[in-house]
Amino acid sequence: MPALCLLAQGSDEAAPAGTLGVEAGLEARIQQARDRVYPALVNIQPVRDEYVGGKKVQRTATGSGVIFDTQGHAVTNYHVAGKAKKLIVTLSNKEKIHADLVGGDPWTDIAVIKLRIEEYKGTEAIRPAAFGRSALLVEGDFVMAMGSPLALARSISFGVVSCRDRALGSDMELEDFQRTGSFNTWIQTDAAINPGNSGGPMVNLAGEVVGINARGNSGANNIGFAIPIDIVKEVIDQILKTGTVTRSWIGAEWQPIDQFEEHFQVSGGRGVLLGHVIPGGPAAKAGLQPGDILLTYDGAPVSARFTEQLPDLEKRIADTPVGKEVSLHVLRGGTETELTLTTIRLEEGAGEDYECKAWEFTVKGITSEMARDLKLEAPKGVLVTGSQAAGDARKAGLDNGDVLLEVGGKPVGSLEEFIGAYEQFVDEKRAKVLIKILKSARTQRLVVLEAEYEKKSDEKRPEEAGTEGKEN
Amino acid sequence: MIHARLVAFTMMCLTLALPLRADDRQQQLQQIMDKVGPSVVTVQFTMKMRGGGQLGSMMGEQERQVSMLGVIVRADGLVLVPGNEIDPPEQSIGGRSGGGSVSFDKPEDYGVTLADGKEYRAKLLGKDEEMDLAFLQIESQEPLVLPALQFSPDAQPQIAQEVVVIGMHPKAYGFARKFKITRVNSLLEKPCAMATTEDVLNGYLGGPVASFDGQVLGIIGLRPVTEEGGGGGGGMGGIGRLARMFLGSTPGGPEPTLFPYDLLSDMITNPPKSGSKKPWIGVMGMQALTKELAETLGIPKPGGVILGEVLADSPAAVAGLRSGDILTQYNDKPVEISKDEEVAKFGMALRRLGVGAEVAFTYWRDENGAYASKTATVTLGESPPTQADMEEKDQSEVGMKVKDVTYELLQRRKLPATTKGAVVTTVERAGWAGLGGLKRGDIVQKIDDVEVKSVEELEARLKEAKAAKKGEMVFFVLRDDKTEFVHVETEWAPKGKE
Repeated sequence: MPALCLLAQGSDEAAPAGTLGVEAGLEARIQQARDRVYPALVNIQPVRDEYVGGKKVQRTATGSGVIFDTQGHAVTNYHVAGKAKKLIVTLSNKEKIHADLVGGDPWTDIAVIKLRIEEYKGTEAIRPAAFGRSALLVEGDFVMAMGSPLALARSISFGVVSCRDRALGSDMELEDFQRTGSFNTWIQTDAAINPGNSGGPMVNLAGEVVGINARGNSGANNIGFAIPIDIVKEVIDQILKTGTVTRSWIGAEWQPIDQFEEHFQVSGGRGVLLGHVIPGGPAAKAGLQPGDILLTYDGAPVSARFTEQLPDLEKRIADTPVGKEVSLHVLRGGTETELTLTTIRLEEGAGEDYECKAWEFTVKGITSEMARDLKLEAPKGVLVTGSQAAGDARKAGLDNGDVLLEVGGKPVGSLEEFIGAYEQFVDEKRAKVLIKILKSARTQRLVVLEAEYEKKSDEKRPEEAGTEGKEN
Repeated sequence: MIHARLVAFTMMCLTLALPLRADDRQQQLQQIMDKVGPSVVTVQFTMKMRGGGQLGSMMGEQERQVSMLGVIVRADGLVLVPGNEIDPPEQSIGGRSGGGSVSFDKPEDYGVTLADGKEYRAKLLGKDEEMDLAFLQIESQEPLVLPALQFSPDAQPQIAQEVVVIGMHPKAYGFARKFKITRVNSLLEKPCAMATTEDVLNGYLGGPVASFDGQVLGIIGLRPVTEEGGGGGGGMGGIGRLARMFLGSTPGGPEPTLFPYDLLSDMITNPPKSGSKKPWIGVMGMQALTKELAETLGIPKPGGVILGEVLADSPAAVAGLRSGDILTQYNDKPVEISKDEEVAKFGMALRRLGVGAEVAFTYWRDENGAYASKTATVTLGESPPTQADMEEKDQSEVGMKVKDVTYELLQRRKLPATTKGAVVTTVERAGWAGLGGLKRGDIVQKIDDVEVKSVEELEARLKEAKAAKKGEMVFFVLRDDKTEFVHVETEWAPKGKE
């Protein structure tokens, strides 16, 4: 029925009656919608540092994006532009301009870039696209995916909303140690989404952006996912204001209550089940326990009967101002109790990368999230992410997954401390450096790194200048 | 013809220090076979294999006839056999939820047939895990005087020495004895002086090795796998097996190796008994104090063992040892380990001291960058059981199998040593547990809010649920390192239909 309505609206006086008229009307609608977004559609070629095989290399890729204001801001995926050092943007009229990263949010996989409009040589004005409301989408709505699949810029595919609230689980990783997608469900569509579509707009027939296409399913046909624009709008607002997104964390993992209602004696769709409490986190400090049923959070009732409702709760918790004292009503063993917890800031999952060029390996700072993943007692030390074949570090026995605890007798509690120690020893041209490690993040071991400083200055420079080939 | 003679001549020059006439050599070999042959016996038994998990329904229970070579090492009927064949460990086969395992039931007794055709029954005494050798005791009413292999205790294998290995053909050839001439191709340092000989696997494993002058040097075994690769030396105080499981890798494959007599003598005098206590100190990942490390650390001389990980509540931990401590003396003897390859040797030396032995260590401890000499006395404990030692209990109605949780599992998964529960080892996908979402590896800690500390308690809870005909159960499990509730729907059979 909705489709017919749309067609009626779309069929202008000129359209002949009958089947042909319906088709022509739909086509006209699609093209109108396209025209509203197409001028704002961009192809993005980011250049970023990647840490591969124990060294830093420059890599590029292809992604998509959409301009959303007259100042030239465009939204794309974090995995496209979030770590870019350089951004080359191609508009749909084929004009190229550079852009700069404004900020990114790995948790929703969103980044905002700003085009250097002053470089623009085109004649027509850059027209931003308008955002719609993803909350209004229903299954069966017509949508288009616009972007650069397999780097084929300015492509449009067409389909329907296959599912408006797909839960993809909270275990998705954007990169090692960085989870993503915890705060949103996804819009599933059969409009073709391929590598390179990432960051591009999902557009409804009104010509509004209703989602940001983020991932496809390579093992299937016509299963792609977009981040709902309602979430994206909030993220953009925060990034434009502060360059980043600040969220709260309480260290609790929730389960839908549905099947457990009888067991825990709750009814009426109230509450959510607490499955796991992260030791030392705010929830643990407040005395929350697995098996507690959370009834209210910060004064408002909580309901999550199904997995699809969990991201909403996660988002509500994350949206609490950091450091706020929050009161909770909890059902425990049949009786209601009130507890108070103080939220703390949600950290990024993955730590910063660093290349130790002189010793021929790469490391990453260890965040609390990484410490939990690696089952370390505390977020201390730095993680080895790669060592070059036949390099100094590899020869000393350092490899992926080792955690460096001490370098040359100095404890390296953080990446900054490590860099300090490293730079000092390199300046001194220290030939032998004793390093205390946790082999495979587990067993303590002492290694002696014998550094050869002479060879590097000659060999390494040209290699660094080279960039890797294109990837999608 | 000329060509052929030349070749033969060249070989003789190469192989023998003193060129002997062909019939002299024939005579020597004959003497060796006469001397050693009677000690070589045939061991036969029936092994039961059981499939676990999905394999269970596919293969069920199967029987396999096994025959192997054994050597009489004591006249009272002590027989040495390769360990892996006679007591194979449980093997698990991949698959996340649908995997399986094959376990082997040891037979009650074993048949031993001597070279002269005499048959005996024997019992398995036990197995030495590190050397992978097992011992059988022949049973007899009268005292036995059997042709035991006469080792030459003082004979040391030499590099390139020509040796004779005595083996046995398979059943199809009537277990006929066979021999092979080979050479000691290298001398190894770990765990003690050993010599490898190549291409003597099939039918020679466990067989005696003699020199041409008739001295018995040792037997062919598989080179013990030590864990020093990457993670540092294991094998300390019987933790060899534990450490291997922790590290999850077996560096290289086993190679046929000549185990000289000095490696076997202790075992022959005092054979390992299954069920007997294995000594344990509780340290993983030992590292040698090399010359280079000693210099860098500012320790006067190399030789020592650096502790990698001291396991919680282990004898070493109780004595106050910590990771990073460097052991330099034990019971007033120096720890002369300055290469990582030698670390296993230290483990073996400690293990020989036995459960309950008090070991006085002198060690260096890093105190704010300066090494201070300290002492500690460790009482060797008993090696804790591994997960493989635990019996798998089938909860067929619920559609899963469980085992008790061992210290070894908790250490491997880096869980607190106080964690209690029953670990799920197999889940039938379409069973109640599988449909409810229980997964292999989950540690069940509560059922319907009542604590489950063991398989026994889990079975009691299930029994109660069955008696009450409960339509659902709520499991509280530890999955990886996070807790989770799992809802399981049950349809216990109505009374009278069970």
